[in-house]
Amino acid sequence: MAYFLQQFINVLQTGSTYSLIALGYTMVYGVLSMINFAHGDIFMVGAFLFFLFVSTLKLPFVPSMLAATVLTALLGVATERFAYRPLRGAPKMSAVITALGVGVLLEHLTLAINPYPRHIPAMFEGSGTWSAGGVVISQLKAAIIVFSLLMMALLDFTINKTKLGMAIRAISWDMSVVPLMGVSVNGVIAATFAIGAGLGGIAGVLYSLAYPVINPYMGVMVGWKAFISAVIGGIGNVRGAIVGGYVLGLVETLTIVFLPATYRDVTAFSLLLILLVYRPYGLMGKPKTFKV
Amino acid sequence: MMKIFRTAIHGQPAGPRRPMLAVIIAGFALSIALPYFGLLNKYVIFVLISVGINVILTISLNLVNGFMGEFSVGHAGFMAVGAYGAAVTSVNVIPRWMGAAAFPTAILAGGLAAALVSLFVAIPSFKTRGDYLAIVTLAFAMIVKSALENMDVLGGPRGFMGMQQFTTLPWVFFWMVLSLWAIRNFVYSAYGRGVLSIREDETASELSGVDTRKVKVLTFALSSFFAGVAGGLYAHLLQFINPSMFDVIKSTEMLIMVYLGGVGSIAGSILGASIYTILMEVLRPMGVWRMVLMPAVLILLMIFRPRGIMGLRELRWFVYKAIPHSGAAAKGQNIGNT
Amino acid sequence: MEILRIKALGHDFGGLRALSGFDLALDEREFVGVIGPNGSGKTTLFNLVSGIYRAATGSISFRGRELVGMSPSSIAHLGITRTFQNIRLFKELTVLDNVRVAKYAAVRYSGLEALLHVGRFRTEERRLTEEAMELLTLFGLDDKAEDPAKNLPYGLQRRLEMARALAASPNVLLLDEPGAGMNPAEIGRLIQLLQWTKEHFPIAIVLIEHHMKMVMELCQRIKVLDFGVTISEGTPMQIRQDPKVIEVYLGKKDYAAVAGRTENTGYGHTADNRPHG
Ligand SMILES: Nc1ncnc2c1ncn2[C@@H]1O[C@H](COP(=O)(O)OP(=O)(O)OP(=O)(O)O)[C@@H](O)[C@H]1O
Ligand SMILES: [Mg+2]
Repeated sequence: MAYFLQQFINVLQTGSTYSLIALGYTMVYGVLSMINFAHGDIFMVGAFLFFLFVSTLKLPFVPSMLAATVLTALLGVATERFAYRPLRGAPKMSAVITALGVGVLLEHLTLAINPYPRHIPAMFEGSGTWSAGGVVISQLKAAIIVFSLLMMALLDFTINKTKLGMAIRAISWDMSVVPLMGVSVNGVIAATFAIGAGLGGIAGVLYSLAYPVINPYMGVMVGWKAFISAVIGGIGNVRGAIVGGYVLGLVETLTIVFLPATYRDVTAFSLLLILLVYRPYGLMGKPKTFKV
Repeated sequence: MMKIFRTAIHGQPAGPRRPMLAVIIAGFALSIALPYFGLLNKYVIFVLISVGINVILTISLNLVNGFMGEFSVGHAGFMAVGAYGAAVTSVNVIPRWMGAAAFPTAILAGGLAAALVSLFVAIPSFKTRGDYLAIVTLAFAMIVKSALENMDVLGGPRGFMGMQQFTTLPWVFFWMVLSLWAIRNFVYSAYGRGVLSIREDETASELSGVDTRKVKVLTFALSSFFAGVAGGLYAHLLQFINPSMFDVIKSTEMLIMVYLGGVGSIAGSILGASIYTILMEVLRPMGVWRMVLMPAVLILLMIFRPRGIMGLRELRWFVYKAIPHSGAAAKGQNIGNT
Repeated sequence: MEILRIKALGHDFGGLRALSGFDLALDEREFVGVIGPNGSGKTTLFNLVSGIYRAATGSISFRGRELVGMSPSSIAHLGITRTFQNIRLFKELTVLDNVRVAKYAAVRYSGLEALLHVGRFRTEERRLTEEAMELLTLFGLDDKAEDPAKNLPYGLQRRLEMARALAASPNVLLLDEPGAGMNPAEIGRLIQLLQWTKEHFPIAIVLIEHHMKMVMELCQRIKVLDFGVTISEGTPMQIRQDPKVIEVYLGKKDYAAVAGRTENTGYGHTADNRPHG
């Protein structure tokens, strides 16, 4: 029993990371119908920016995290402005390939600046652990999980209850109605990228607290997992992305429990392939019909 | 200038094709003679071999992305299957005393293995299109990589070695010509017209009687076969392979070569692979910044010239025409020509 | 004599009944018209017959073979081809290749022969090309054979679409608003072309049109749809006088057309369909 509770905490932790990043994929897909393959690398840049502030500039934790989040949000806006916007009318193929290119560009830029893996200094050494009935959870882990859940709740509120959220939902529905509402389409798209990338940046910071060795390719696999989470929940669907992250976390944990740990990725990708072919609109989405 | 390039798939009388044959024979002779008489140093030979392998990869990916308009972005997966297939064949299956005679067999085995595996991508392509198919192919490449990392018999993440260095300039030239010739022939046939019509409008193609499923399976198989061949050549060039050689970055390189040279063009594939490979060599002193330049080029291409240098145009030499001289068509009743 | 029999055909899109209880028995070489206001289910009918959608209810049999559930390409092989309301040519391909694509099923060489350009390949390609050129000559497109299809003027694009549909030697041809976006003079020529096509090729034609003049002059029988339901059917004369039909069109631009002034009607309505560029 304790064993399963312990695994359950692991599910919550990996699931939180996946969900936070999955939100970025899903929001961008919602407004632009485009898969932003660079999003996993935005997450990576978030971790490196955090390293810059905390370790190189020696700033305290909270300002470092804030600065890293704001800068990744700006990076998201910049990729949209300079790489994706010129291609908005172009064939889908061009946009997808550009996104792949932006991802590799971010990886290699980071690599050129940081040729060696970096270590995030341990900041919460004093923090202890709680244990009950054989289940042990570090306060850091608990904080990461709770903070992630808070961020997701905040986003859900923004999407459903604010004017910006309404505009984002309106664009997902039909881009041409938004100007009627007195909102600029480009502004809303930029805001979407800012929010998505900002959440990715926060995920990067939290992740690097739990796994302090960071490298330029760390976003590739995590990004893919987050993307799979978004597909599980039905890409374009915000709540779906949140649920999808935890579902994937569960699937992966189960894989590790029953199979050798190295099968984790194969399982996740096989799940993706099966979903794409048989249920491309995800577990929570609805099928679309096409028109001739 | 005007007469050299044609919009793809049609053209004026194709002209005598003997010059093509002469070029091929001369090229083959040179590929043997130049290294033999020591006229090229090892480095130049290595670069030329890389160009050849990249031409094969580029024409192979161009067949799917440029000619068929489908969306493969995980082509390195097929290359990996070919590389491991060929390597295992030559190290573990074929007895060593067969020497260089075993090489074509091993390459063929790699190509066939890749063609077989291509069904995993061809079948989803019946139902999914566009960016979803892109994800399927990328996920496929990821699965291949993860699967290889999990197979201890193949060395797992450490990789596989023991191949002899069979890959020489003449061999690469031979396989390059073969791939260009076969894919060119395929494109200029009823199947090839099916391929092009799928790119233009898949529904209209179906409704015109094209068996799009069959065409897709054949096209993915042919494309993957040659990606596998390229992988086999690569394995026998480096004498060592590991799963991370065939990652997203390798696939990205292939995309750059296709979109640089020109989509839907055989001449463009040769051009794109040559320019890119040589440029990357020239820029070697830039070190890691060269790796930054590479994706930047891809992004700029997509924004400013998404079809590439030769997009949808073809060199006259490669065009096949069923009736060499126009006017041979039957004259019939002609109505409505008012 | 009967070539195509459609029985109780119906289809819906998420609650919207686009077509219901549609019946049609089409004889060989017959010319039938389908009319009805916008959104009345005409194109849906063609999409069902040609296999793009799988019919929710009813059956379609072609010479006794059930078509529901077949792939579009097999239906085309069997002998039913079509054109589209909004032209769907292979734009970047040449005029000649647009027609040759449709001869896919007529090719008698294997994949290997295609790959090596040996065996039956060369003679077959020559035969196909000659046949395609012959068809293009008939449609007055032979001098444009090497041009990309996208460079043709609008009227010729429509004509090429018909040539492509005929290239597979069908027995039934489905034409979806071939006169869309044409002026009265062009409509006159299109009528001639269709009359001539019908005499020259052994085919039955189903024609969807908003130009009443075309339907009235060409069709032996007409079916009228409204909200997916067949509200009337009969000879052009009967349709013209059917009060139900007049009522459906009442207050709509086509009213005058049905009520008798068949000369210069329709194009004001369909001009919007002309694609840009
Ligand atoms: N793929 C689809 N998804 C949802 N609804 C559809 C689809 N195709 C058609 N419809 C709806 O079905 C109804 C019938 O459409 P259809 O295209 O058959 O009309 P039509 O008679 O051809 O009209 P028009 O004269 O404008 O061409 C319309 O209400 C249309 O909106
Ligand atoms: Mg219609």
